[in-house]
Amino acid sequence: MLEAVAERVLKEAEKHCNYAEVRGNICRMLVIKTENSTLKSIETLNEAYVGLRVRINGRSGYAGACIYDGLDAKALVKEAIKAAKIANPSLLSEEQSIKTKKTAKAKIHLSSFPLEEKITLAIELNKLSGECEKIKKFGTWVGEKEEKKIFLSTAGSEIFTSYSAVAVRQISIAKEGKNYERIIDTKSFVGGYEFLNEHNLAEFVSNVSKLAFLSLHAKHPEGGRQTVIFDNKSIGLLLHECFGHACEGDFIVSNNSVLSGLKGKEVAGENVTIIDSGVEEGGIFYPYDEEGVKKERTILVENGILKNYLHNRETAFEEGSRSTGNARAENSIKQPLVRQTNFYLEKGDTKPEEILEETKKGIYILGTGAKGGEVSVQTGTFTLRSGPGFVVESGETKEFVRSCVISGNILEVLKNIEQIGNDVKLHFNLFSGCKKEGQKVNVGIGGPHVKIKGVVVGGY
Amino acid sequence: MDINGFVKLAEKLGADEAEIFIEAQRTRRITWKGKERKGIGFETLGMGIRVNVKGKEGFVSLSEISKDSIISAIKTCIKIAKLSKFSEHYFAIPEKYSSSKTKVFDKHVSSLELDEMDEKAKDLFQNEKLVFPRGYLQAHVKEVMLVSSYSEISEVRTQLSSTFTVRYEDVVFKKFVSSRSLENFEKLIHEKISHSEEIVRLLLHPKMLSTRTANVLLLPDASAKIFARFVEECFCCSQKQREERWEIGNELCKENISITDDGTLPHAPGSRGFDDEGIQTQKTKIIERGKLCSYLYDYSTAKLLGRKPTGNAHRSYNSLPTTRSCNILVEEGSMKLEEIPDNTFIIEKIIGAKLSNFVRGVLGFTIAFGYYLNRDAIKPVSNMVVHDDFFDCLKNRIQPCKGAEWYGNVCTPAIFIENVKVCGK
Repeated sequence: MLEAVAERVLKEAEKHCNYAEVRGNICRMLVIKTENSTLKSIETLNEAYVGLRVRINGRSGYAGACIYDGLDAKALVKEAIKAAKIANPSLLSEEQSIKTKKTAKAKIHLSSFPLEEKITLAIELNKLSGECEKIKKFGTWVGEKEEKKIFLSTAGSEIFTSYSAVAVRQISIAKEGKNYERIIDTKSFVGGYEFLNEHNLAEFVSNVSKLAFLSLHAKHPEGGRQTVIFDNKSIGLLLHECFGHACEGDFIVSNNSVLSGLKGKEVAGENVTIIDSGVEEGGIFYPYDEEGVKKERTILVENGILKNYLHNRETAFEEGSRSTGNARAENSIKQPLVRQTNFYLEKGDTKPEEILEETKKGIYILGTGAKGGEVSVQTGTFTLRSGPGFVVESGETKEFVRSCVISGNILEVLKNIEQIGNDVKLHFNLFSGCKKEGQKVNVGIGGPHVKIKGVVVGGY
Repeated sequence: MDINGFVKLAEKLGADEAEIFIEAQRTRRITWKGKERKGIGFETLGMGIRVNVKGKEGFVSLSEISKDSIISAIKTCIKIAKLSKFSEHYFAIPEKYSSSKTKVFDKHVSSLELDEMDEKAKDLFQNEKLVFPRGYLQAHVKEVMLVSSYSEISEVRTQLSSTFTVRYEDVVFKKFVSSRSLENFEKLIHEKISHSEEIVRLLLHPKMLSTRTANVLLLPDASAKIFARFVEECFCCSQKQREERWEIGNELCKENISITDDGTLPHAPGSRGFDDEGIQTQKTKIIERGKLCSYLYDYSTAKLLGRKPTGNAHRSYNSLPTTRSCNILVEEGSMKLEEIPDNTFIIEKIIGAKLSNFVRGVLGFTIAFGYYLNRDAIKPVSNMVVHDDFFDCLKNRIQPCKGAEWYGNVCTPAIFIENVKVCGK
């Protein structure tokens, strides 16, 4: 039905405007939730949406609807035309005419792994996670998603993409007396149920519980400015919050980012190179964006110099640049925004153990149990909650410390990077994502171990 | 479409009870970023189907609505239910429904078209002193319908909301306003803009100060974010958290703290006549004079814990119900802003409120904009992390101020807390 509806809408739009593009997505998600060794719920979510952009006299108008039997293409086009009338004129970077089909590889297809076995898997993992000491509540989710997308335009583009993904989420709450601690972590994978063979999920769920137990009696780190070693899981969150959002073209062209006007300038240490790429191992699958532009590997920062921003066709034109394929939307009815895809720091040449050995005093923080963050791109202030970690003294990890709030300024923190590891790793969270203007999308984040001086750490 | 017919079909196919939740939404939204102005209109229709087969629950949602897709979803739902575990408290299909008079609909909002909203946005955000470089204005109409083996309800709710950025020299922060009626919404926008005008000069050229122990005064926008998170993490009993952490009657706070959830306030942003399981909303005292009075429940969690549901089940068509607050009201206190002592950080805007860990009782966030008051001198501050034991703050060191303001679905006064760790240089 997806293709037929998209074609019908495009045909109707063509009658009324200079340019039109239709996006459609059909998505199915299954989530099996277990808690304290029993099955809690099985949820199946299905969505099918179509979105339209028309261009009339240089103005863009958007409209969207669910795909269903009686979809009124005329009404959809009428609404988009109304929206175009109130928009101000804008120019777009060159359009592409692409005809392609891209599918992410899956060795064991989601449907070939029976539902009963998925339930057994979730319950078994859940039981394992509950074997750790003092774990009062333990929840394990097994989730899978498959999505098909279509992009058609009057310029001749016909792009079909599809992928499937599988994930496990572990929530462990340790309790002793009135003392509680909760650690949550997710492992996600683009592909099929070969995921089970390629990852040690038993170890993953047990480790989350172990961290919750260890955190129960751990102290808070010392508050104030400190040298922090971010492991190759936590660095992605830092980079995404502290730098990724500030690179987004809509903030740049409206002069709302501290990085506006800094292209060609030094914004980070000379050893720092930052990439945004649509398809990366461990990350999300995003070969084409919501404007039908191929998402290529974009170098944002090279050896400390700001080389590029992330763009859609509109912000690219305004900045006199090319679209980097970063127009993304939560689903096809929503208006695409400039978003990150797989955003990561390139590897350096130091081994992670050498970074630790060469640190006299600081803390080493883990990505497991991190809780997300927030940024004010206009002022450059960012914050995030890391996972728990260790105090570092004379090159060795000492006392275990609880998760903490970290804060800093975009223009300072990347200049304070002292060492970069050689162990890049990317990851994403199938059950959650980054929120911008009310739209949530999965993003891939990552990097190697990194040491940064002068990071503000919240603690006692 | 004969929804009752689908409920009956589910029963015929083996469900002891069936429930179909339908959500139809109409959204009109204007966004602006610098000179760029855009509009979008979209309409969605989604359906969530729950069945109970011999005490086992199944759930399927769909937005590709056709007779065939609904029948197929019902069959899948029954299959899933049969695979689920038995739990007598697991399903949450209400036994009775009643009528409600809560005002949640404004025809002026429901009929707003993009061109009218564009004019409205231009009127609202014209100001001589401040600039509004980014923002959106959104009119949303949601019709929910719940049809089950027992009965059916439907309700139409309107919502006008706006997030706008305020800029004055190097001070830039976001404001959020939401209401179910146009009149109330415009009043709130004017209040927020006028407050921004008053405070913005005090926040210019902020700096990070050294780490210290000091008092903090969370102005209403900041305290609303903290209380919203606190209520959600500690007092919402749902399938996600099916337990009462503290016994009713426990003294959790100083006597000067009272917190209520009220879903019945006319046109307030979180009001609704029914919750999303068909239970009538109500006014629930969570904390009164420092003592815990009640938690908030959805239907199944209330049943499990031997309580009455409080009308706090929230969901969208593609999710199972979970417990959330409607409107959180924090009672004002007697402290006046003129009485704020020296050595106090006055905090206008925070980021990372959701980073506080209330499971453990840790208050943690970053000051985006505020100022430090000491011996009549004012120092604008930013980038500092506030970190403390929130449960101890509540019990021993907190004082609500006079006057309360709305931020989203929270109405709270400014909150003063003594001797808090504020980390910086």
